[in-house]
Amino acid sequence: MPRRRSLIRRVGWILIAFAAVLVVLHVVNALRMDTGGLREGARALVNRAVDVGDRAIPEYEDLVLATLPPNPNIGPFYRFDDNLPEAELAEEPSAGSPDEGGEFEFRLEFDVEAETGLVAEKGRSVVEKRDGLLAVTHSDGDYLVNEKPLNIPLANISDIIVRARADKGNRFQLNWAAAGREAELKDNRLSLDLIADGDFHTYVVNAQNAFQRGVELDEFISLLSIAPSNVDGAFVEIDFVRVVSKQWKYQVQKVGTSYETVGGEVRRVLHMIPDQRLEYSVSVPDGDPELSFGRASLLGNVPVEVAISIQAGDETATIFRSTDLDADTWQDEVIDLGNWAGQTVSVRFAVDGAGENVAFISNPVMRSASKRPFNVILILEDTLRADHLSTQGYNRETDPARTRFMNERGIVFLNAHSQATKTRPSIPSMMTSLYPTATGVWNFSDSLSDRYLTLAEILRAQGFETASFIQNGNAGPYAGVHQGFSSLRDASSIGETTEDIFGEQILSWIDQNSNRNFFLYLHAVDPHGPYDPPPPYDRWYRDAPADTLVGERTLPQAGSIDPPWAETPSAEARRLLYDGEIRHNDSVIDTFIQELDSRGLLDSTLLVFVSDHGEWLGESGLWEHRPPGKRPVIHVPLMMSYPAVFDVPSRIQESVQIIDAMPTILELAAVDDSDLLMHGDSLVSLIDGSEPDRWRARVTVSEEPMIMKRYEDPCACGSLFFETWQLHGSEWNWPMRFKSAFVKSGVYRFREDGLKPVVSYLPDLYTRYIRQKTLSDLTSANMRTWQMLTEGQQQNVYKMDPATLEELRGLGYVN
Amino acid sequence: MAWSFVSPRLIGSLCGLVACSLIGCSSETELPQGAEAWPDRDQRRPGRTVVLGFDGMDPNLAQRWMDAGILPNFKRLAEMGSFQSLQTSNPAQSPVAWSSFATGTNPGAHGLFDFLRRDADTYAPEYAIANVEDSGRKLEMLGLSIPLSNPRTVNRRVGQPFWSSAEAAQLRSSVLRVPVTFPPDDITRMLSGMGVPDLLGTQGTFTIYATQDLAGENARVVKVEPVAGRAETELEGPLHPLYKDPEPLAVPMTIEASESDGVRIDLDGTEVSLSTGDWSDWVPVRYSIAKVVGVRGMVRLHLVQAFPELILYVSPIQLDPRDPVQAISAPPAYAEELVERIGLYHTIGMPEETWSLNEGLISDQAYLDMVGTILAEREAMLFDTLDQNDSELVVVVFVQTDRVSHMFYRGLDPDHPLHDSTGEQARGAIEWIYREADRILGRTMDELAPEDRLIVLSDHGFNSFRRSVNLNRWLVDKGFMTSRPGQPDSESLFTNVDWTRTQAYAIGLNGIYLNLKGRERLGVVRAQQVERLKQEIAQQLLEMVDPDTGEPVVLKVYTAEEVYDGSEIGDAPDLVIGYAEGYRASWQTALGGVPAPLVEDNLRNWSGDHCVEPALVPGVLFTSFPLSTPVRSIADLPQLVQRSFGATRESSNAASP
Repeated sequence: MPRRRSLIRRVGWILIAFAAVLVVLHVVNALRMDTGGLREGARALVNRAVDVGDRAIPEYEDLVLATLPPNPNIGPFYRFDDNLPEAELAEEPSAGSPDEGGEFEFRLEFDVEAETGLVAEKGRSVVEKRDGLLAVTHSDGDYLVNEKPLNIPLANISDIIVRARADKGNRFQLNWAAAGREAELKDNRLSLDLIADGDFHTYVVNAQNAFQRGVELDEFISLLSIAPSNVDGAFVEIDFVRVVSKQWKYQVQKVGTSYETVGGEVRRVLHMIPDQRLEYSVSVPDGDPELSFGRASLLGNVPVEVAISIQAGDETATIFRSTDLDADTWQDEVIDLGNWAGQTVSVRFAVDGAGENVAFISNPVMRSASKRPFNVILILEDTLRADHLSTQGYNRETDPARTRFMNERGIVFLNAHSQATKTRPSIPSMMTSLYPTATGVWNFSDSLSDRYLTLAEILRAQGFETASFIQNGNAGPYAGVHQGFSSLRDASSIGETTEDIFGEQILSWIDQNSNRNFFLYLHAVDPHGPYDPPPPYDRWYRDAPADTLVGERTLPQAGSIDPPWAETPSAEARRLLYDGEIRHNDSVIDTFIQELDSRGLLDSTLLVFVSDHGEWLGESGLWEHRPPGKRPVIHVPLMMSYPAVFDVPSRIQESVQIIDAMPTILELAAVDDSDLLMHGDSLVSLIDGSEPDRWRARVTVSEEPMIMKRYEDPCACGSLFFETWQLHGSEWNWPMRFKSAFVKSGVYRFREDGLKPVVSYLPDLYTRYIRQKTLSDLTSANMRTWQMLTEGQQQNVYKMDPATLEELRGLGYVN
Repeated sequence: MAWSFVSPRLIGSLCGLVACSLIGCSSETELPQGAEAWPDRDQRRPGRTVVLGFDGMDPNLAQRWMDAGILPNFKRLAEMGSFQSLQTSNPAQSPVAWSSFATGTNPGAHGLFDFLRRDADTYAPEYAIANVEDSGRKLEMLGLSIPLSNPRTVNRRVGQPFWSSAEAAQLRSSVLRVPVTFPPDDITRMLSGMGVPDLLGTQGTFTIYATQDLAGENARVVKVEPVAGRAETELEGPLHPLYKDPEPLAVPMTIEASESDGVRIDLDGTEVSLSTGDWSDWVPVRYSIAKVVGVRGMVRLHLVQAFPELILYVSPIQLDPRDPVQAISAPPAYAEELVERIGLYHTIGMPEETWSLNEGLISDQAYLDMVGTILAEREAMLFDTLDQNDSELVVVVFVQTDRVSHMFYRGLDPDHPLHDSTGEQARGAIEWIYREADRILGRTMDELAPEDRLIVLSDHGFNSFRRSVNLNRWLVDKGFMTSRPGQPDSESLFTNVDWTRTQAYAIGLNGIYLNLKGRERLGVVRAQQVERLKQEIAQQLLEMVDPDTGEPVVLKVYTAEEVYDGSEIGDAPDLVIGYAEGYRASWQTALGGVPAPLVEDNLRNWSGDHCVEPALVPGVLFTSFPLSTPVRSIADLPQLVQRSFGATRESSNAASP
């Protein structure tokens, strides 16, 4: 008996000692970290997100644009495309009705008994046609595919419309394949939100969004498949699948605004079909007013004429008339309006010609000279890790030119973090200053809804000229970040190398707009893999001892990281090549900065250097950019130069976010941002040191939306940054799977190692609780913002307003 | 049966709860205050002051017919004391003017600016006079949804009416059927007027039973399909108060052809026989919620047309004064006692069936018959109160003068587009109602003692309503409002308005609101733009001409700050429009519609109106004593009444009938 009692006592003591150690560790942690401050900062963060959700309404964008006060830097201007609702519309009586039957490139109505059109590829789903509907009992993994091969030119497709009702599931999937490449059907997919409430819903998918991969504009679509639910046993009835032709779209909306691609350049246009007239009553500004626009047409071989006239009093003058409209180049025009300066006039746009062609009038704007030169150039180098920049203390001289430039005049943020680990969610987040969970762009099939207000939209509405030159499609129309850019070009028209993006095209654009206030977004794809710097920037690799360059086995992701000529490169070899790409970018950007300097633009231009995410370079055996969102993959450069305001170079230690760039730019551009919904903060007061307490107390965030489920996800994946701490947690701690089963979180000192947890796991309970609670509250608040803005519509499913619906119903689109 | 476990007391309180949840209750009482404005008791003149209101009585018409000898009693009163025109409120609308009358304040203080107000969050028009406030707290159990707190009907008028302060000064007051007096004030005797809802909680939802399809804007039209000359249908009542997704309660009704070209109707157990053109007596209906719990209402039936093309009108289901679900009188029992003395009477705020006549559903004659019935009820009430002789202050308003003037001005005005098609009897209708007013006045003067004082007034005058102005269309034409492109014009509720491009909108009969940032949900007008925008709109309104006649449409435009003063000014329209004679905002404008024509002929029977520049439509003021102090406007009436009790010259010259 005494023996047993002493055993119990001993166990008791052990437990008490263990508890005491826990308590001591908590106390020690509490002393090391200002947990009270953390809790307060986290609460402020969540409150702000809730406030943004409270203020989010579907009309947000229109409302802000309608009430934005004029910009003090910019003279009076009038954008004809933005003011289309104020124009008088007229139609010449000669306008014919659109061709019968031309509206659909392909349609399945399931109304005719004989025709099925779609069959279950694997034969597991039960497909039956009845009452004009295709009734499908879905088997997970199976999908419906067209029975006979299609032959639809992609260039002709405007929208895909599916009307269906389902009882189960929350996603459905569209797949497609180009003629001759049918085997790629599996890879080309778009996931869409399914509204499985038992009622019919019409899903309209913009083709430009849908067919972003696997098929080129000049190719033909041969296979189209649908997995109508993601839940086994779901019962789905499909009323129709229709592929609407582009021309018909313009017949429905005879005059409108859209983004159109001509000769590889996307522009914001006013589109008009023949016999349409538009009349604007406007005041021509004083000064040296001019009217500028570009012109092109949908078809090259069908004549169409654009005429612009001005009526002042009883006198009408035709200021432009041309039938010279190309389908493969934009032609630009600037017309002096000095004769009408200070007068209120009617400006008329008239389009004439044969039925099926469409005239595109790009970026029509009337304005006088800029009041004060001020430009923004946002330069993003994809996949750039901040700790591999010599500017930030890296031991190889990867960016000597930037170091010189920044030492002279730059603000360098040493601890900037991206809000996601991939371009697709990161760019829409940066361009709206909202966390990815609030933008709705979580993964590859998402794109930013039109209801959001982007940096480019605001600046364009303030009178800036805006252009986007991108080498990564995830930063363009597919991600919805074309919004607000007057002009967009991607790698297909500018080329793949860093020289291409900072080359002739951009310099000529700058020269064309140097007397304007402009906002330029340049997104270079390098140093994104494959790591393949051109000579001489591969010299670190070439100069290294050969035996260190070859590994024993092929490392992960060889296909996307390693250049074709390198065989089983070692981890060190990969890093040398990656650094070489940074060095290459630096030298090209150096030349670009000199070009700006020679044009006298450096003093009046806010230059921002940033990246969308970092890169795993073998740490924890990880490569490329993917969660977990630890330091290597989210620590990015953020550097600014704007001598007019920041006259003393400085290096800033506080944790900042790339979504802070937008409010900073807006403040420096003198834009009133009081009604904007943003999660970021302008960094101006951090730079000038005026509010040290506020910045010390701020908690910042990085998210991992790609691995989270949109609804009811228990994972609050991502990081909070507070003072010098990073509190991180993720479902994915791959490849440390055995560990991740127990431990999904860690606390790191981000300024030091950033990878080795500094707080042992057990006493981490408290910080872990705060992080999880904060991130899950933040996600709910952000989901609400997204719901309120988009009314719950998944971005690439366009909800049609009743009038459009009425119009389409009249044309037999919808019933 | 669950009910058998419930104690009688609980059933009683549940009955109250159910009743209240149907249209709402008010438990608020006013504290005695304002007594100091009245003469002290020992200095008070003996006798009563009686105030008679004839809504909409026009000074020009009164003068004309006094001169013609048609209104001998008015003439007698004018000669005995005084007669003048009386400046009305701005805008010249009954609820606004009667509220100024009651409180002695301008709309900026009493808070009623129009029949309709708007919700700045939804841009939807709302009834301005009363508001049902429902906490929405419900106990959900057993599939029922039991309200935990009573929804309350609140009079939106702010400020103390003079009869309440009179009561506080120990002057017993009887106030009958004055507009904007629901719920009733806690005074010696009150019967609420305009504002009392029907059993559905609306301001008057009538039902038409017809064998063919009829379109009725404000009517519930029930199509009946008779089998062998007999149609079985039902009269829908309020929603079931206890269910979560309630269905309306209903009582059965059968309609049968009778031998004499009429119908025999069985409505909820009461049998009624009607010939074409007949009005029935009151028919009680009881909507049963559970066996022992029910709500009572009453309707009148009017046979417009017998079978085979039946059109049967059933009035709004009025609260039964013997058992109203909510008090419509003070003390609450007065409504029932009155029934014992004068019989059943209309209880709803505005019982006259102007809409049915407007839509041509009932004839001129049927309408005038109805007005005659209501007038007789009101007359009986007035003399019942005078006979009781227990109040020092008596205030009774007859709105029938207004109701008849609205519907029959077409007969009086040879320029009205409907004048030629108006029948002989209808042409004499306004004169008839003035004669009736004169007759009632004469009876009153005979009833009064020498020391009693009489004040007769109207809240505004009248004017022809020939042309309807679609003010929202004007705002669109002038660029102050933008419709979404390619969308048809909307008839109501701004359905196609692009708010982010709209600076101003019109709702109600005289108001324009700016789409103000921070106030309207989608407001775009910034504070610094307000003054310029108001000026711009006002100036362009004054330049507006009728495209068909070239006549100016608007005489004056007022800003809220110019004409209003007080705590409620934030609810006022930003601009108040004084239309020129003959013009008025269209019905669609009042409800936020944007129909296509700018100005169009008014082709409805509602042919007279007063929602024009207030200076064009003053009311009347007659007193049985000479005035020592000028009375400038209707808001001076409380002071006049107060002075009538004082030992001043005003009351020294008592009425001697």
